[in-house]
Amino acid sequence: MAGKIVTNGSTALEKIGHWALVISCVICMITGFGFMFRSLDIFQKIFGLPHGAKTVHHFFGLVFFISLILVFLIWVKDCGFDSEDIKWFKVFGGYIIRTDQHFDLYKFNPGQKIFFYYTIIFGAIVSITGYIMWNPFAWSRGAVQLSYPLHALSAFMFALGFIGHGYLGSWANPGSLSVITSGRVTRAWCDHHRPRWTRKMVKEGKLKEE
Amino acid sequence: MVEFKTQKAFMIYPEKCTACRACQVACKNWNQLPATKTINRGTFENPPDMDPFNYTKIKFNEYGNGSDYGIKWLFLKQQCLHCTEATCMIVCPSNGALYRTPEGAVAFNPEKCIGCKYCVMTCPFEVPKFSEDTKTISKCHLCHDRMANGLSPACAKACPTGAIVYGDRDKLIAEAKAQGAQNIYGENELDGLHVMYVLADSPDKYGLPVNPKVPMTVVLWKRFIKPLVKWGIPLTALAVLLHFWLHGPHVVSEGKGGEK
Repeated sequence: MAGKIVTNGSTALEKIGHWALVISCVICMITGFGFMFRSLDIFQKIFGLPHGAKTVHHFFGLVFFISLILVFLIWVKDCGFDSEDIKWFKVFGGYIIRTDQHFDLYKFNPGQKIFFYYTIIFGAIVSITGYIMWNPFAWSRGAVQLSYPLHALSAFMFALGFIGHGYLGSWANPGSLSVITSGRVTRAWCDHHRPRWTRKMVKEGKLKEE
Repeated sequence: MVEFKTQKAFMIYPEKCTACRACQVACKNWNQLPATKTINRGTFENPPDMDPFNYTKIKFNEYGNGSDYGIKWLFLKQQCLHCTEATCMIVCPSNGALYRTPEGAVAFNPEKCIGCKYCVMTCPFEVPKFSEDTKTISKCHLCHDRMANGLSPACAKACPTGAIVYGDRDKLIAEAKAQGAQNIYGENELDGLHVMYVLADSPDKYGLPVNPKVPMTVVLWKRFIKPLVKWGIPLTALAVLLHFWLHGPHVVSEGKGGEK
């Protein structure tokens, strides 16, 4: 089977949800850090002066929230933990320190599952606090004042996750990025990273190969 | 502590205030602020609060005094107090929207204000007000345009009783102490206010916060989380690069995945 290409590594909805989240997240981070650091006001200026940057931040904040809900609904069923995950945790999947150990995983490894919940939790906090900050007069001063540091902190956590996730999904694991761009990955990649999923797809005749 | 060339300030003596509100009128006049419609709320106090077109206002604090006439007024001239440690300037995300004048006042530039309302929600004295018409904030700027030309702010100029004294900050404090003032509100609060009061009673009786502070959440946000972001993001990026350099990519070889 080696050498074959699997073409349906991810569905169209998964790709749309993922990249809508990435794009809105990047734009909100650029404009947001432009607001946090006044020395980085170039990030405000490239989006049409501070006024424009604020509008852009609000609009893409909305896109972010909608795509966050979308990816939650798409992937929550694939992100439950099982017994195989415990074995994975013992060596952390060989991600940080490389090992040759193999795991019978379904679609995501436990690290990815943790990142899923990490994204949903901090994404939810950043969205809720952002909504409060958008129209502060509808809320008490205490609630708004608490939203400011929470918004900054969750955005920071999101930025850290973004760096780690982007690295592990691209340079650290060659061949992985295409699963979410074109959806095309080698059969060997499928057998290695998601063996249980591959077997199930083969059994159901849903694995598209060329 | 921020240093200023010549710190100008107000020393306000509420006991000398007769609530004639000439200061309110003078402020409106100099700043060309439109009139706002209010209603009779059964008090002489008007308008009800500072708003985008009322930078200053005499607050009427009414207390019973036990006599047949039954009332005692504590008048407070409300306006921006021009803190040295100004919360509004700490939270403002737009360069130059709120700025410090050479004399020590906190002025604003409406063209640079983006209407985020951070200052409105965090000011310990609830001074900046947001206008839905202009989509910007406004507040007292201590008539920095008059000060720059050697004139006293409009309200101080108009005050007929000498309740608002304008001058060098150090001299004002020395003067008040020479007259026997015990507690000068604003001498040390928030690293020193540029509008100070010689109060005859405790600050809360006047409706002033007893111990004004930059809100804890703002301290957390700007003094802890902001540096965390500043160092956390580059260090994480560096850690990722280091990991790539030490361990390299995790390559899945052909056929290897086939072993079951």
